[in-house]
This record gives sequence, structure tokens and C-alpha cells, in this order.
Amino acid sequence: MDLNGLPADVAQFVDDALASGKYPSAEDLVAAALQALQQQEEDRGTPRPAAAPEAGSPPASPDDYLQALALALRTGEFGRARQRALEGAARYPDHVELTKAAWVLAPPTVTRAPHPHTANIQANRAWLKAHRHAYAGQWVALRDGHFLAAAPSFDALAAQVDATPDVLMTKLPA
Amino acid sequence: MTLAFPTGEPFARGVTGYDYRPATSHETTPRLVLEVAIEGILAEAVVDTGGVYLVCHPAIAGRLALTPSEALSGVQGILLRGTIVHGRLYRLTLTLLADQGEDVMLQTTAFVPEPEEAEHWGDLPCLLGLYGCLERIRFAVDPRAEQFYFGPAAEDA
Repeated sequence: MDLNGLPADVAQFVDDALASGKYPSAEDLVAAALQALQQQEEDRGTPRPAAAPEAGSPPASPDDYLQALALALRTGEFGRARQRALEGAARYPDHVELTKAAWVLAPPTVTRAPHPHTANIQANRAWLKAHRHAYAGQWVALRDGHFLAAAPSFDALAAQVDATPDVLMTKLPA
Repeated sequence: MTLAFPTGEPFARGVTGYDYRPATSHETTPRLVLEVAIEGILAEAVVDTGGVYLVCHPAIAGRLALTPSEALSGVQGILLRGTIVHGRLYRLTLTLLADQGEDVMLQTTAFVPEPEEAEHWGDLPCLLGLYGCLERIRFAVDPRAEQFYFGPAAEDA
């Protein structure tokens, strides 16, 4: 196992640990380090990840598919999550959760909007450009480029305006 | 508003202006900030081609009045911008709103943070990731005119 690119102090620790003979190989050292990290995470209350099937082997049950896709989401493997959901739903088409997962994670679909929008988004944009600094750090509510209200929090703003869908409520960077 | 292939097939169906500014007060790198509709509700969103899914601001999520039964089961911990964020995955309708031309609707994978995430969220707007959100859209940017062109790469029935 190559352990290139480590910070100098960590590299020195690895060299010393291997030289001491406590760890037969770099693999054993890395495994021990990961076990210590896992224990540390568990001590902090982070749940242990569900057991993942061996790479390349398909999950063996609907629950395995759901666990595999949850693990994939947690580790940032979004393509694998979609793949597991679609495979699982194809293999177990009557399983409600897998079918829902496949629907949620499926590639986007694109359609023509049935009606043009009616909000004046150009006017909203113009207002935001003109007043961004004056309301920096605040939530503002706009309708068709007209200022409705501003507040330090979303909840405070929502209490002041009738939040119909055509009202843009956004927070301006401080 | 015309962007077309040599065959005459239109590349884009709609075009909108954008704001070119940092997404949050803690950042200095400008981003493309668009006004979009999520389930019909207006919101500001950052084009985040390095990201995934449509990520809703927790406050916008509150306006959507979603029920957990519509979501993929359970709260998911998802790695977003290097941090595990807890929320649920839904299928939501995102509409790209055109100043000129036609709006385009997408059924996307949407990550909706749990309400508890709101206190850590700061001023990050909604995010339009590539995977799971913009991946079936053609888009192009004219930085001189600050225009964002968009259209379907293929239209679904």
C-alpha cells in the first residue's frame, strides 16, 4: 500500500510505527487507524454505517438495496445511489420503498411549462441589484419588483407578508 | 433570443438574466444566481455544476409544506459541500423562468434539509446541482450580457 502525500508528521509516525514491528504491514496499520477512527465516531454518537455488500456484488434483498443506497448517499456516491435504486426497483417492482426511491432518484425529466409565469422576475432582479447593500443581511419580500417587507429572519418576514407563491422571499448576503 | 445549431434546431428555449455575486457573505467568488420557481414558489438559486440535486434552503422548504411520506424513506445524511447535512429526498418540480422565450419545467431530485439545519444554513440560497437537476438541460452563459440560456436536451412526454 502506497501512503504517499501524507503530512510530514503523519508520514514520520507511519515510518516509526512500521519500524517498531507493532504492525506487520502498512495495510495493518491503516486498518488499525480506521478502527480507531470508527470507534471515535461511535463515541461521538455517529451511528455505524450499515453493512455494505462487497463491491460488485448485487444486494441480496430489498433491505440490502435500501441500505446500500443510504450508504451511497452518505458517502457522496450519488451515481451509485441512483443505480442501486433503479436496480432494486427493477428487481423488486412491488416493493413500495424501492419504487419510491427509483422515482425520487431517477434522472430529471424535462417538459414544456404549461403556462408562462406571471411574476415579473426582471423587476425583482432590478430591485435586488439596486438595494442589495441597503438590506444586506436581511430577508426581503418582493412582488413584481415592489418591496413588501424586510426582517432579520425568515419567520419574522413571513409574519409580515402574505406569502403567496409569486412573492420572492430571499436573504441578502451581509 | 436565438441560439441555434447549424441545422436550425434551437439550442435554447428560454433566456433569463442572472445576478453575478457571491452566494453567501462568507464567500468572495461570484456565482450565477437565478430566480426560479420550486413547486411554483419563487426562490433565488445558485447554479452549482459541481454539486448534485436541487438543494432547497430550509426556509423555502418550509414554504413548500411537504409531507415526509412523499420523500424517500427516512432522514438521509448527505455529503454536501464537504459536510454531512441531514434531510430528505423528494421529487420536486423546478421551473427555469424565462425573461424571453419559454419556461422549462424539470422533475428533479431535491434535497430538503431538516428544519434543525436552518440555524446552521446561513444565507446560502437554493442550489441547482448538475447531477439529478440540470443534467438534462442545455445551458449556455453570456457573461457580457449576464444572460443564462436554457432548453431541454431532450423533451420528455
